[in-house]
Amino acid sequence: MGVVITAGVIVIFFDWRMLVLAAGTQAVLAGLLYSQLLPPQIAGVKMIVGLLIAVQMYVTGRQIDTASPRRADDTRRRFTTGLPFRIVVAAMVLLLSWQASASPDSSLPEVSPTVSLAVFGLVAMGLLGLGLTEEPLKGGILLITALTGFELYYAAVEPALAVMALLAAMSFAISLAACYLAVVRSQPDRSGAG
Amino acid sequence: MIVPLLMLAAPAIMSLAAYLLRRWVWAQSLIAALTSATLGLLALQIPLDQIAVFAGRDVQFQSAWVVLGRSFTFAETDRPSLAFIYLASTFFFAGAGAAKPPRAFLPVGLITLSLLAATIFAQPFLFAALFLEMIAASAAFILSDDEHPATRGALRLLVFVTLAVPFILLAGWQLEGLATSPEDTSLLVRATILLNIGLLILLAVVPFHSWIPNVADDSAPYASAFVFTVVQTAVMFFMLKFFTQFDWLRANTAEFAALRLAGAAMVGVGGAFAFAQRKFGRLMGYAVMVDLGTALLAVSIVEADGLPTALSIVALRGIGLAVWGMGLGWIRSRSTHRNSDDFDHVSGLGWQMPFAAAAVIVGGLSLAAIPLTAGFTGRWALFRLLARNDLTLAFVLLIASVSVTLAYARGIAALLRPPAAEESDAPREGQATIVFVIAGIGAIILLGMFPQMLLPAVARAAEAFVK
Repeated sequence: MGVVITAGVIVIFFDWRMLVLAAGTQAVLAGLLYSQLLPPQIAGVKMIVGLLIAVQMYVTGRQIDTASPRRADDTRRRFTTGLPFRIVVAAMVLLLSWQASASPDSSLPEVSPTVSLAVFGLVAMGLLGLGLTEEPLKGGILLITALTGFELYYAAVEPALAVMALLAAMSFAISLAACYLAVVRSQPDRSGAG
Repeated sequence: MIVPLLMLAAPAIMSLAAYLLRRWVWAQSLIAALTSATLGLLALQIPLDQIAVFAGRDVQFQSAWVVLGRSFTFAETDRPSLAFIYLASTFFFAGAGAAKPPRAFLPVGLITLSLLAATIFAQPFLFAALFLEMIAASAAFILSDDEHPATRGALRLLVFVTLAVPFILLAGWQLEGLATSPEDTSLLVRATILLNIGLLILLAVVPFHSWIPNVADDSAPYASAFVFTVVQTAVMFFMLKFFTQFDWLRANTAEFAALRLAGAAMVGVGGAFAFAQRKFGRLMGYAVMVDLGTALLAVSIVEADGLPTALSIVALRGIGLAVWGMGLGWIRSRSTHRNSDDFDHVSGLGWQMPFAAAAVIVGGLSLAAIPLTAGFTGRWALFRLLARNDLTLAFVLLIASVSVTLAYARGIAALLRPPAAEESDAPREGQATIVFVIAGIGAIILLGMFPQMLLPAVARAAEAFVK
């Protein structure tokens, strides 16, 4: 449940500190879930990869914050128009994920109910969040959230080392690209495009 | 010598050299073009699993490289697809110095070459989806930069490719299950559904197409052209490999009907939206959608020469796109609103930058498949096939082609309006650009007039996929 709540926090909030904190917590909790499916050493490596991605996001967030501090009116606009909606839909997705993992018709037979809830919750929250944002840093964290959900399931059905390594490399690549896009987006517009 | 390792490592190492030479774009361009041209020749000629004399010594060229229990294998049938990717990249890299590309274009382009080779070598080949994902991530570095800070297109490309990967991997898992329980047809059904969803997303079929016009609008034109040519071709080869490797997929007529529907949707939506565009970038995006759709339509025609037609469409798309991208980069730099390619903002620039304007016009018309341009060859062959198979689709394709052409005609009219009194102080196209533009336009017209120069190579490539 904890790992899905971290995904909900990522969907609901915009502040980069909150996002990075939730991403780091999610990496630790997902690592604990991996330990039910994979040898502890590999689960540990997955956790470290997730934490390194969180560090990468933190450094990027700080750089963006220094380059272009957030304006107060941005915060007000977001909180008045979007926050209640995001809280409601995140709660609905959480309930649906819980329901799907508890129902014998839709639960995933290859994994335990706990992992099943995490898989449904992370993928659904990730997709929901991606539909609600076009900010690269948040988008990157949400992509990794959805991917973590998929990896939790895939680790149970295909635990090959090469695939695990490739998926970790893929997460790094996504994170790197998202951080780069976030930094580019935060630069003052030099193009002058109308 | 392990050939896959050589082909994966060489571009990565050369990308480091290109990065170190980032102040000298022509040196970068030379290194990148030489690397990809050499690899292209090696892809065609290198002996596999044979001993050959190399630098005075007997060397065995191994075709497989095993890593963590999986392998990268260079099969004989991979030669045409590899050679195409390397030679198309050579074309882009050679012209980069003259085209105002993003600073990271050549180093990242070389890294992309490594990843593209990995998509072809990966065994089981379903894992190529992971490398396609890494390509989408690396594309972000050339699709957005200080000059093009809009990130929407690059982010959407990343999101869509990431969403496709799980479907492809899960399809692979179902197929592994099928190997142990061949009597369980539900596995086959699930694998087919998952595979189709994954491929629809990767191929940017409607409604997963939104990244194409956004990338074309927001990013440097030359970088967009590279992504639309090389990366989308790799995706097309990835799809064709499924049909080559799985008899059950090839025997499924519903699969080809779905491909035809997907292609028709891309052609229809691309054509409909192209007509309404007033920016060269977005227009190019929708024209590319139409072209991607035509390639899918051609693949869907199984009983005739659909595959060679699809490959000729794919092969000839890049030439028009590269020339177009080279010209539009210069036109945007001199627009009244810098980096804008709105028709109103580039009005009259055809008189100030005649060569860049000519590149935009001829490259665009090739993409619209106007007769006597390179793009016409594949489109005409498809019209002939569709006329025998499905006249309605031929009509839809004709309307879409006319729609793109009319939209270009508006753009051309804007470029050729009488020039404004005041001129921008942005530099005009240099002599090198003029040389490359003339060469590119010459290639478009030459291939448009004498397409038979390319057809034997296309036929050989098609044979490799049929095998």
